Amino acid sequence: MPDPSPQPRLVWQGEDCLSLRWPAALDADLNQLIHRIADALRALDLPDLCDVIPAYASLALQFAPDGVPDRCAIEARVRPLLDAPPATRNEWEGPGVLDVPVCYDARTGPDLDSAARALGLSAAELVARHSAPVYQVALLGFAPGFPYLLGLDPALALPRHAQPRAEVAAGSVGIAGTQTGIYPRPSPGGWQLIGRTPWALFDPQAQPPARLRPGQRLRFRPIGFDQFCQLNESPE
Amino acid sequence: MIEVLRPGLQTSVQDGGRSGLRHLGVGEAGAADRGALQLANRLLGNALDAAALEITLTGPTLRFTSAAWVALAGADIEAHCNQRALNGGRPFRVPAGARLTLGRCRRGARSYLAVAGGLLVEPVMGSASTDLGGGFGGHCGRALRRGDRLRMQTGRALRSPDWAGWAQRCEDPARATLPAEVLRFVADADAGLPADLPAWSWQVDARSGRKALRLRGPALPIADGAQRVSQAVGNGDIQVLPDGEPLLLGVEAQTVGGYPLLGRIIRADRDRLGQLRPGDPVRLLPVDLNSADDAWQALQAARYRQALALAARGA
Repeated sequence: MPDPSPQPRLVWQGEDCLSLRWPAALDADLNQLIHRIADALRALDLPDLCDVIPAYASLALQFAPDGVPDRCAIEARVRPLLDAPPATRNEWEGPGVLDVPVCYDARTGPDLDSAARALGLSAAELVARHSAPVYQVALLGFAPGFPYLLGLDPALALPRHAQPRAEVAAGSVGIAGTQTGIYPRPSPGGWQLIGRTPWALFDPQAQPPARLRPGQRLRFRPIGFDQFCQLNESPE
Repeated sequence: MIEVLRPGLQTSVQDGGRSGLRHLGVGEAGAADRGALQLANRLLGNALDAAALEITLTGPTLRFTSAAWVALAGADIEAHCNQRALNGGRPFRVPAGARLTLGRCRRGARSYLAVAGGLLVEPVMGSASTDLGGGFGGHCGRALRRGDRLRMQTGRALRSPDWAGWAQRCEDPARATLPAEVLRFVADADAGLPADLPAWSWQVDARSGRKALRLRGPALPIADGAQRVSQAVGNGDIQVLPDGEPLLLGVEAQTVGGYPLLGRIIRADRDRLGQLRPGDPVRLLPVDLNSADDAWQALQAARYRQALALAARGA
């Protein structure tokens, strides 16, 4: 019999944002629950609700009324949903686990070899262990379309570079601490770069503009350098 | 058409912003002083959040190839149209071929130049706003440069109004009793506020902009030991950095953050974040939700009365 889901605190973050806060943790099951609750809250169609923003262990409901929000009424509609959260995602999640192509190669991942050495692994072993798990997009943030992924093998944890690179190529896949992620566009960055996806993770003109969604599950599918060049959606 | 002869320090196309996309990591952007944008638009009978130019500290020099009604609001700014000095807070007509020279903002950081009908830019994700950090939206996703050309929507002709005065920013009554440097905020449930916090004073650091305002001064206490993970944040949130200094998040803030939160600036005071200049003093005053609500309702009521008065004058 599974444990009853942990109850979040309901905290008003300013007068216009209801923050549901669970105990801080990097926990895939808790995060999945948060995504299911986010879906159900959107379906409630609360007046003046303009955004539902999931994070690792919290969910923010941002309101933008012309007047003032009716906080009691909002809480009265949210609490029952938390007492009895939906058990499964609705079809909106999609057909299952998304395969994201990644070229793990010194040309696309400038830290691949040094990271493998630091972990006492061969590059091939590092690639195998990084591409084995099913990851979960815990949230999108830091930059448009940037996924924070849960599920990294703890044995692959690596410190950030002391000096961040001035420019990290779009699609770069990196490790920092116990997190792994993908840079959607060129930016400075301190993560250990072990590969690159040819996919464009964020395109302001596309519908939807972000390739990944909060709560999405994915696997990294290793591809070769030539295939990367053919598929590259962000050529420099 | 508007030609940019001199771009000014940081001039960009902004409207009310793009809301509803923070779950994708896309922040609102838009006018850092939204009230001023809306006032400039009201003066011209535009939609409240129509696209306009946000001007920062030093303004641009623009040539209008066709005549247009325009209005300025926000910080008081030196303004000349073909050598004739102009005031903000009232509409004025720029003749075809005229040069509009905007100089320094005084007593504030940002001014808004609206044109009748609004600026015409291709919307990105539903908004004309420029996300300067993200490099999209507005005019080519960046601040204006010399040689840029901007298009205007066809504006309605205003009834030639008899503007004896000028429209000023509205305020809630409680605001008038407070010194300018005080910002009201609702404390976060998890924040430990020093008892004498309202007496603490910081200065806006030069490392500030649309993303956030860094404050230099006394270090706030940070509850240690608490495990922290990133949570959703937005315009008005006050983070406490590892050295104890507050960071006031702006319209282009990152959408998530892991630093502890002190609280969030109340809606009625958020536009003030867009007017703070490096070197300005800041104090933080915690207020309860009822006070925040009273302030917002009073401010909205004042704006509504102003809108009626402007409409009666022909705006």
